[in-house]
Amino acid sequence: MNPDPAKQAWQRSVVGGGPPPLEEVRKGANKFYRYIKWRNLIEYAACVVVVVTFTSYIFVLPNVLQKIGSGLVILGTFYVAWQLHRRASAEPPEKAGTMPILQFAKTQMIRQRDALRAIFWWYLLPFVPGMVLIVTGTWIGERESGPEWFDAIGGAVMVAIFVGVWWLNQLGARKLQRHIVEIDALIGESQ
Amino acid sequence: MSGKSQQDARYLAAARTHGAMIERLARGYEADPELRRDLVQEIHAALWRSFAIFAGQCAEKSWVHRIAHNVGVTHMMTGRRRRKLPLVGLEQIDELPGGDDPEHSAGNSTLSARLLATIHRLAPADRQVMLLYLEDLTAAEIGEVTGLSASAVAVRIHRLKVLLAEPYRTEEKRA
Repeated sequence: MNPDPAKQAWQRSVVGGGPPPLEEVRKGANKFYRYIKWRNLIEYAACVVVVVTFTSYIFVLPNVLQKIGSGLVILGTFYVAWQLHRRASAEPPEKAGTMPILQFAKTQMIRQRDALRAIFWWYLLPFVPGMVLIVTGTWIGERESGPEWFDAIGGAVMVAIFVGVWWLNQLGARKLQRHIVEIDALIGESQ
Repeated sequence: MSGKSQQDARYLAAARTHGAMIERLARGYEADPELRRDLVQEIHAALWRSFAIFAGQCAEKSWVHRIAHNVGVTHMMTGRRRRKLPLVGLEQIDELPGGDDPEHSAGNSTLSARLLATIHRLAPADRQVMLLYLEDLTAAEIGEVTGLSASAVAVRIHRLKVLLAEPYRTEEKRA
């Protein structure tokens, strides 16, 4: 028996606790994968919406630049979906046994931080050529019929959204970096 | 024995050995009984899955603790409940909470409640060390489970020993 009264009291606080029925455990074990499947489904659905919308633009929009731009947006969507899976998918919890807790947390944070830092290259840039062509095509097509300031505002809003997304992700990356530095201090590693 | 039945057998053996520890650990990460039941199930699910890839990478005891604590920390950090007090490090806690009545503090149930109240105030790394220490893991084992450096574990265990001895020192002073 442990002579330490605190350890004794703690270990006596719960003495039972056998395994739950195996069927229940197996069912619960699929929860994580069900969540991943559900998340993938939402991503695929979002891709389908973008692809269907921009495919219709190819036929509906009058200017050739708009048509090419729509095609590029579709290609960009496929690229972003692939990158999302490659860079941002979560590690399943059972992998946590393969390394110490802090090391496991650090590995996941580094992966997320790198994905956020590089967000411009894999999440924003793939849409830029298509969007630029669509906006340019629109501008050329409507130069005579519509007011230019309206197009300029539309373009500025798009740029502001892109910059905003990039900036928010950089803030997220910096927050993760602070946690990584804290973990490094705890495990005795320097950056 | 097939892979699946071997996985089942290894899981069941580990769950029998460490079942009570898992229940106690869940108490350290979740105060609400209903949510705690979910957490225990989540830990068992991750543990069962883990025995499909466990090949003696570390001691089984460390493996089980790593899986359980990882699920516990994820549960704690993703929980949407508002905390009454901010999480702190061991160095910011001078005494076990609720120790105004030393007459009763030596009783196991009261002491374990005070330990639990302390655990619930701790930030993840210190919470892990305290839970592992109370489960009687050695400093080396705590390092293997958490990944904390030897000096970081030693500092925390020292603080814990001082903190846990405090009710008895107070009692002695009064006597």
